[in-house]
Amino acid sequence: MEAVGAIVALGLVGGFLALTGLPMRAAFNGQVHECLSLTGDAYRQHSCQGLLRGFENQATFDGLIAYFNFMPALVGIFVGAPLVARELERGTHRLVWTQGITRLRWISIKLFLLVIGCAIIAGAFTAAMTWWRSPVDQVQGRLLPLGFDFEGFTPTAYALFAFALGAAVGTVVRRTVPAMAITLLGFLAVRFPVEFLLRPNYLAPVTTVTAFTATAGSDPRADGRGDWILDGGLMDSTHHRLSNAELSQLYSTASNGAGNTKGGADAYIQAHGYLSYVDFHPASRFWTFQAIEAAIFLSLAVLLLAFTVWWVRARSAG
Amino acid sequence: MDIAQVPQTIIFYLEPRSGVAPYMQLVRQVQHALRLGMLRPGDQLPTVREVVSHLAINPNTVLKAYRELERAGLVASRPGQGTFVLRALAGPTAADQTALGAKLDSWLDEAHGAGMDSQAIEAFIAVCLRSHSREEIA
Amino acid sequence: MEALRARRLSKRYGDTWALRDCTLNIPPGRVAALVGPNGAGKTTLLHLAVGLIAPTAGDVEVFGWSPRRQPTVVLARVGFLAQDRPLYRFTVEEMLALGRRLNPRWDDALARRRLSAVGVPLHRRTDKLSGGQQSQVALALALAKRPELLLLDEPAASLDPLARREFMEGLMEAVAEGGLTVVFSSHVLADLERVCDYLVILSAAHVQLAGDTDEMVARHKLLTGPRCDGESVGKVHSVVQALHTDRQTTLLVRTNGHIYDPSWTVSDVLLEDVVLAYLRAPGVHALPEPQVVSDSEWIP
Repeated sequence: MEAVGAIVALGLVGGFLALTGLPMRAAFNGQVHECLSLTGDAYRQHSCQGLLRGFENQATFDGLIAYFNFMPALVGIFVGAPLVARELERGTHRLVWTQGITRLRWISIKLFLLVIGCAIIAGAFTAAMTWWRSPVDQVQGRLLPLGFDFEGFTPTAYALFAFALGAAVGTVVRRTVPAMAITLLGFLAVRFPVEFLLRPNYLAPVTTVTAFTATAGSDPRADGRGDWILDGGLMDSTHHRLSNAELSQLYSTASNGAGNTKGGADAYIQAHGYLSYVDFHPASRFWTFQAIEAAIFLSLAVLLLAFTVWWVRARSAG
Repeated sequence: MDIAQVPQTIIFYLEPRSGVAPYMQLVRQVQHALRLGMLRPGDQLPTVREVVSHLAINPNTVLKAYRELERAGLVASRPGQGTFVLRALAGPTAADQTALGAKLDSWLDEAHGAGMDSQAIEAFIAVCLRSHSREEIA
Repeated sequence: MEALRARRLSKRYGDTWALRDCTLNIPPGRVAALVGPNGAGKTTLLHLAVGLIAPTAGDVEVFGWSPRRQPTVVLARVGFLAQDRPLYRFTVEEMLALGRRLNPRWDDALARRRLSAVGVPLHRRTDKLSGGQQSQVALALALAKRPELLLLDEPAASLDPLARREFMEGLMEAVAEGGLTVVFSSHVLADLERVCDYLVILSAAHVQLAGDTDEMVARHKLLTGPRCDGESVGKVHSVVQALHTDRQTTLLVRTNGHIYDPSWTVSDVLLEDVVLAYLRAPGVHALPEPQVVSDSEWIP
């Protein structure tokens, strides 16, 4: 049952990825690809910024792909939650837990095989997403959430966590449908706080500070493609970071005083010694972050699996 | 199971509401068959399995009945072969039957004369039988 | 070694005792029936015996082993057929494959022989079978693991008379093959004498009476006589049930020897009458249980 459902779901996902991935490659392989190796004037001559933006907006289906974050949750909902809950609900636990092998062995074998199955499915999903994302990765890198969440170890770790969560919830709740709902909520309640609150802090961000120049805009990095930018802005000569209020005040002062200075507001800001700063995680941290995040979810999965085994073995289930 | 397929000498039946324990019903049916000559020495009783699948009865009950018959010396079980009749039970001879019948007949006339109907006579005989057997025990 | 032994076995759910101070010894080779109204604790006792639930107090042993502490040993020896015969929505063939994987002592030939004898199609899904066929599948699965003790929870409750008869026939045939002790629960009293030789009456979470059925029937008598309070009888025998009219008193008693008082008419009772009398008087307990005459009378 679960295997058939998983194959159908994977087939649908694969179909969607193939249908969108091939045109995306066609769009990428022309000028967009060339732009990636250009810098400076050549970059500007080919109006690369516009081309890349256009590619990102049209080809990457950002809004849709974001929903793929639910894919690992599906494993928990449809494989994990019913695992024990359905037995208890239909009374078949009284059949299967009274056979010649103990229920400790039964649950251990079931969990082991399904963990392997889920890992294989999640691996296939990761491979498909990595292929699909590869042109986008060349433009955006893969440390940003939409790349990070679908490549490397994380999809497998999420899926195993979701499976273990579903199994544990189903075992305790004993009803399939409520267990499915709780599994989804529980998955999101862990998954998103980790992404938004923990992940930016796995390592201290790198901060780059340069003198403010009009051409560089607010990004002082020489080649920052693929970095994960957390924050950026202006600071004064004492390295005090300007708040939004201070910024708007600065700009209005700069515009008012612009008459006195050549080059307008930018020149004014430059002349007064303001600095640009950017907090970011360099693209090279991808695998470190992957390892940290996967370790968090896999540890949770192991705890939940151990809990499930203990509960099934120790608790009464008449 | 088709009764015709069973190569047996006696077919057991159970009366669920007779008040007689099932094993005793089987014992009595064998005794009855022995008295009437339906079972003769050397005959084989149905195997426990045959009785069980015919009556859906507890095999322990059948075993208990056969043990009871064995204890009474009526049958013997040969391991691996089955249970066989050892001796017949003597019923009353034909002459005895006639004489007893005549006595009972005249007694029944008397009872009817005393105003007893058939049901009253049956109840009376049952009470007499019970107290008679109690005296034998005591 | 008793097939099933319980000592002060108790199970509580919240504030309610599902089973309280249950003490029982069911000898091997017996076919024992657990009777009692719904909610009397029959299912609880069976679930405790197979280790599905853990006792609140007291203990239970199967051939001397604890179902919770030594599940591997117990599960290998016990077959269990739960109420409503839960089965997966598999084909019968797939159910057999499952049994094979889950049971080290699995006897596939036995399962197939039983199923073909009752005409269950192996390729059909279990939820497409009749109730009687489902029960036969569940029984075949339970027997193919070659249990020494078979526990059945209301095995015939939802079956029509013919299917019930066929089921009991199959069960009794399995007993006839030897080496099997059976404990089954039932709230149907008809036909009990035919299939069980040991009886446990459970009522309101307590064991009221347990023992050999023939002995149980032999010891209980119905006394009919002129109206009285039955006190003199009660001094020697246990009065289970007393019914009075203006003129007459009818007592169902568990005798302790002969009844010599000639004012009583003594008659035999049916097993069913004994059970009903106890169930109507949940306060009456007849413990300790009657002694088994001799174990040697039974299949070892």
